[in-house]
Amino acid sequence: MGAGEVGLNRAAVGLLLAGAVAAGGAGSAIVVQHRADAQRSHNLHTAQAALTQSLHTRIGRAAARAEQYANELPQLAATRPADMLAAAPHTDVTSLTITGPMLPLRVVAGARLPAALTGTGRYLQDAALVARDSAAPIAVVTRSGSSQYVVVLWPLYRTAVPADTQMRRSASAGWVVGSASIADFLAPVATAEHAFGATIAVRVTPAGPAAIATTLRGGLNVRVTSVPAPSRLGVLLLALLTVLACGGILGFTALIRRRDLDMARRQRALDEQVTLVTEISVTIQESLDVGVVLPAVLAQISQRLELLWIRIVVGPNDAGVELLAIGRRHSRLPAQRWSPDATTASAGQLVRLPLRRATRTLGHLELAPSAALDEYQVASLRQCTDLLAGALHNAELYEREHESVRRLRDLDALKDDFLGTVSHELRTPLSVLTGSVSLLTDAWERLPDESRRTTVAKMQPHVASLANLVNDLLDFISDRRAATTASLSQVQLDREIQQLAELLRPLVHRQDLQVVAPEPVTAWTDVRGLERIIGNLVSNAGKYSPEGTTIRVDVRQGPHDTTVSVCDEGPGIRPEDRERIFERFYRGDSQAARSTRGSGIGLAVAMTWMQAVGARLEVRTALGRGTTMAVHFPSSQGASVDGAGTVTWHTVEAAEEELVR
Amino acid sequence: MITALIVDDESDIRMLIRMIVETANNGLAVSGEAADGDEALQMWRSDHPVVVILDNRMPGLTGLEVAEQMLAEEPDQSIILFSAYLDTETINHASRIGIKRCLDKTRIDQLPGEMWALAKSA
Repeated sequence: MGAGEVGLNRAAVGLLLAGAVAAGGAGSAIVVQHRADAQRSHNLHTAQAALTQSLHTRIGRAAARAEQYANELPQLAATRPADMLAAAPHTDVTSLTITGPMLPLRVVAGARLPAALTGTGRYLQDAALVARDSAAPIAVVTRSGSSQYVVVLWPLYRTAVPADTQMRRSASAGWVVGSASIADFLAPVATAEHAFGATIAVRVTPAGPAAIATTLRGGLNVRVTSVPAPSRLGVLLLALLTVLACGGILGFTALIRRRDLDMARRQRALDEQVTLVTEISVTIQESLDVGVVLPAVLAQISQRLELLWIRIVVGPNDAGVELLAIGRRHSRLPAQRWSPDATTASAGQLVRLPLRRATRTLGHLELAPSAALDEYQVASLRQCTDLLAGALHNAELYEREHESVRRLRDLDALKDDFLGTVSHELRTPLSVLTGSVSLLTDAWERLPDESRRTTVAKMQPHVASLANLVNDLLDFISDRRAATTASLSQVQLDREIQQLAELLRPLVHRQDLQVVAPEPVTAWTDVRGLERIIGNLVSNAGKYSPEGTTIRVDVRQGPHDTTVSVCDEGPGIRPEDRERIFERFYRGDSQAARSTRGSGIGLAVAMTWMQAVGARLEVRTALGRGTTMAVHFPSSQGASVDGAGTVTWHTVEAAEEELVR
Repeated sequence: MITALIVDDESDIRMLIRMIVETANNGLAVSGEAADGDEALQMWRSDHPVVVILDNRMPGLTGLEVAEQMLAEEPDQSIILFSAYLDTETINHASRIGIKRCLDKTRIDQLPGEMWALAKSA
């Protein structure tokens, strides 16, 4: 008989089911628990009950007919597909397909994973390997589009089931693979009836005797295109039906098993997630220093999630600065962009997670995994970025605190220095005055006239110096207010400077102070500011210039401004001091600065006043050859000086360089 | 005769001290005046004054440095540290190296009394 159709009585199915059920424990295996919602669970239970009832009815009805087949083929009653393959390993059963609404099955031969499975995702492949290693069938639920499918995998071996895993692997002959949509598989009564009206098609090699084609009662058709050499159709059918039945029953059992496996896997993933996040939190709490924390954190994440590459970038999106990177970025990244909302990531994909603190984005964590990341791993990455953002924010605050402490410490040192200098500056003239007064009071009678005169004369410069310093201090304290309190008017500059020179003369009594003001000159300025500016420039020149030299004050009317210059024959200003001499408290550390008195605020006060009255300072200096400081005032109301409030330097070194060029 | 070496970079102060010491009379005299530390050491070694009236803040060697050298050579030397800025740190430093008196510069009129007290205790 050639290939033909075989109609198989439903009773045969019933018989086989009965056998399998008996073998599996009198129907107790048909227990399905589903953790879906209550409605679904209810549906499933209904379906399950209906199916069980239907099966039992059929088992009873089919018992008699089944007996007939059992008598005909007694030796094959217990045959399993595995035994078939073991008995005839060269029959080349390449595929065996049972189609129909119930559970289409395929026998897949060979120890390697079926090609059909390699594209179906990790679960199915893993399940096949687990089934092979444990010598037990397994069922997994997979998703295709919007429907779920049950896939049952039944391991086949070339020998009787080997005792240990290693031998099971080497004796593996393949799998019986069955799949059906869950909806069909667990269909309620009406559908369950229909489920048994399946058409089963068997495709085997055409080496054996002709296939039998019979239509059995009930109309279940089996199409046999060919049969293996030693086999008889009955054997094959029986075996097939055994597969079918056992697959179905074991499918339910395996479903539960699968659920347990799935839960265990989830638990493991959750454990890993918690471990990683805990590790990172501990590391972050160890230090506030980013330099210590970041390398440790990035290394932990990289190691735990087996990353190819990870880096942390701070700053805005397009102008971030890389703080640290670990590993090498793969040159060929998948073209598919990772969406910021994605719950998983594929191998090599560039994953970019923002480091957010409240509404502020501090930077990004970028990485490329070596293997796909599941939803648990991506979730733990998100938690890690939250922790990292917190750490970065804290480090920023820490750095800011650190900086202000440093500034306060500097200020404190300056304050100490200033106090020392100022008290020295105040007490020296004060002690001269106290001593002189006490001397004159106590010894007036005994002192010769000459001594009395000298003593009184010596008091004068100290009174002037004290007055100058007190003015400096007051200006210094209120220098922020100086600009608003400047009261500008047209000032008769030549007269004011002449008067000022007389007040200043005691301060520069070691030098010869000359004032050159050839004709009446006026400027738009503040009289008190003028006094403070020129007074400080002159007293500064007096402090640094050697005894017996000349200090000249020139007053000149220019076309756009009025200039007062103070010219000395002192040591000149050292290049290293030029930038800083107008800073408060700065006194330089030259020998000249150390051997002269001064609070270090005179020039700062002068500068503040120059800015307040809109004057510009021009400094000409040459080491060892003196300094000229020229102040340009606006000549009248409404006139303004170019570069008001700034300092222009002309140094001899620069002039010499110019000449060389 | 109680002799004093006056060390101060301010000539006005030196002159005033001299006048006060000399006017006080009572066996007080000025052996010399020095404007800086080096000059002071030189004069101290040649003149052997009973008391040294020593400013602290001077160009070159500070008064404390000068005192340290003097006391190393002559541990019993009477020195008055006569300074415009006597903070706790300076006073502690002074007593550590063996300076017997510290006097604030504004108390210039008390110098003769301090000299007498020191000379007596020595």
